[in-house]
Amino acid sequence: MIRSSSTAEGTFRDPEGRLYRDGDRILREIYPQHSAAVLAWLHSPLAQRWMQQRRMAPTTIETEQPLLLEHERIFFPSYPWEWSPGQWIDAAALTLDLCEEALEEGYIVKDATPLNILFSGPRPIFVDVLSFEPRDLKSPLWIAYAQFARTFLLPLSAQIYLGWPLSATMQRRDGYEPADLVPFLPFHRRWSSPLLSLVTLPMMLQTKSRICSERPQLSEDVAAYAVRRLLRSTRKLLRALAPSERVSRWSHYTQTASHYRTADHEAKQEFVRSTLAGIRPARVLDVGANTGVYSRIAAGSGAEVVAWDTDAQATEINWKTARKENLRVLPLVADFARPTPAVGWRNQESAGLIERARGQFDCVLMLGIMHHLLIADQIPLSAILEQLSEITTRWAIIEWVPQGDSQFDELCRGRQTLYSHLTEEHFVQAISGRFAVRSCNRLQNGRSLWLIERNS
Amino acid sequence: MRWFHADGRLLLTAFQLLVVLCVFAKPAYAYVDPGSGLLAFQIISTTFAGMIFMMRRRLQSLFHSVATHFGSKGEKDAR
Repeated sequence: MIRSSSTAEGTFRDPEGRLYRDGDRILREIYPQHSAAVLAWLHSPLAQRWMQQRRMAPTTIETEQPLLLEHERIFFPSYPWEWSPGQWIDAAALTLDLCEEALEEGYIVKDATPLNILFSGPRPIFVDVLSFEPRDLKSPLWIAYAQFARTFLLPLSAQIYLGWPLSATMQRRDGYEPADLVPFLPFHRRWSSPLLSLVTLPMMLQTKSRICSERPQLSEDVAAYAVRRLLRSTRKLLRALAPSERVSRWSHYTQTASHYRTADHEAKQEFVRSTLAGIRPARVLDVGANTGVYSRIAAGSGAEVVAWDTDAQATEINWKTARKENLRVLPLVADFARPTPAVGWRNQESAGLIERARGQFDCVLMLGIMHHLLIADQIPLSAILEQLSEITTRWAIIEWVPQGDSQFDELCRGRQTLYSHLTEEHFVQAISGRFAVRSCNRLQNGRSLWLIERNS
Repeated sequence: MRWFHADGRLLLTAFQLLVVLCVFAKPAYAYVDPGSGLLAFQIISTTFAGMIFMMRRRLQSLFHSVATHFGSKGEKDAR
């Protein structure tokens, strides 16, 4: 498993090398006894083709002795616990695709976890170049199958059949064991596809199995047939776990928002579009992106966009649209008010959300989100603006929702007095310490849009 | 009787495969956890795959020999 690490030591599990960050560079040191094999793999036509296709992270050789590789930096690093279900399926399908293609060239995936994958825009890219090894031609097994099941198939199963959110995988480095799901599955579910082969039979065999440290040997043609057949059946299991479209609290918000008339929608979109055309940001963060209307406007202005939303279904719709239209938008299930924490050994294996975002965007969109942060999450305005000034290097576009707005009142739930200080004057005053107002547009529904620039 | 004999040979092949899979093995050096139940399930799936492979191969050779037999007979009749 390989992830970007900011620590001096870098990653530590892979016996072939370690990955570390040096400033803005992502470097990988290969240990001497593995250098020749890794070089041969990187020079192989297969690895070269995947890098050209950007299905595997483009990698250059910095030095040969000792072997030091530099990987192209992928913007914006994300973790599986921030992906929507469709992104999980896409990442799993890429792993199987590469494994099948590798088989034809005599290689195999030795390490099949979603942590080997990052998303570059809406597309998955395999970043762990050490996850491939020459296949033992007489082995009929894909040793990484169990890891693929634990880290891809079982979390997807738990999400579909038990409602466990995919974000819960943050707690489990190597995924779920079949035994984790069994107590919660109804009888009929356990004995039907796909859980029969993913959970029930492995559980029954687990107690009797004493062969886990062995690698069987067969004739080459039988072995190759068995592995190909396993990959085919794994792909069938994956297809059975594809997410169906669900309606959530926020997934149809744009269409059903009664506090917005068409004219207001159009005026808001036009303000955002013309403002972005004027400031031309390279990297935009859309906070509270919902299904991505403004993420797509930002992508249309030429920016690379990362879109955060707490709702997995809204994020799924945003991702599907970006994937279909091939837009440079990376939607993530992420919460500005409760950012993904740093996890792993010594809290240093996977960086927290804010650590990854700090200073990475030259424009942040906060449209229809500020009142949620202020009222629902009860975060002081000054603290929100301080956090904003750490993330954006220059611009922010903010929508201010006034008291009396139906959404403002709905969030207050009778506590209007507590939030009576949240006036537009208070907002303008709070901004003035860290930002300067560059333009403002008032909508007919009483809301206002603000372009602000960070004080240098 | 011949079919019974063929089935018996197939079962014997499957048994041989399972024995080969479980006994004549060398240690695995992968650093990922290969699992226990999931690996056992994969080994059993592999055994079935091996059986299917053997069965297909035998059917192919059977069809080939039947085709050859009737083909050569047809050639003789034509003469």
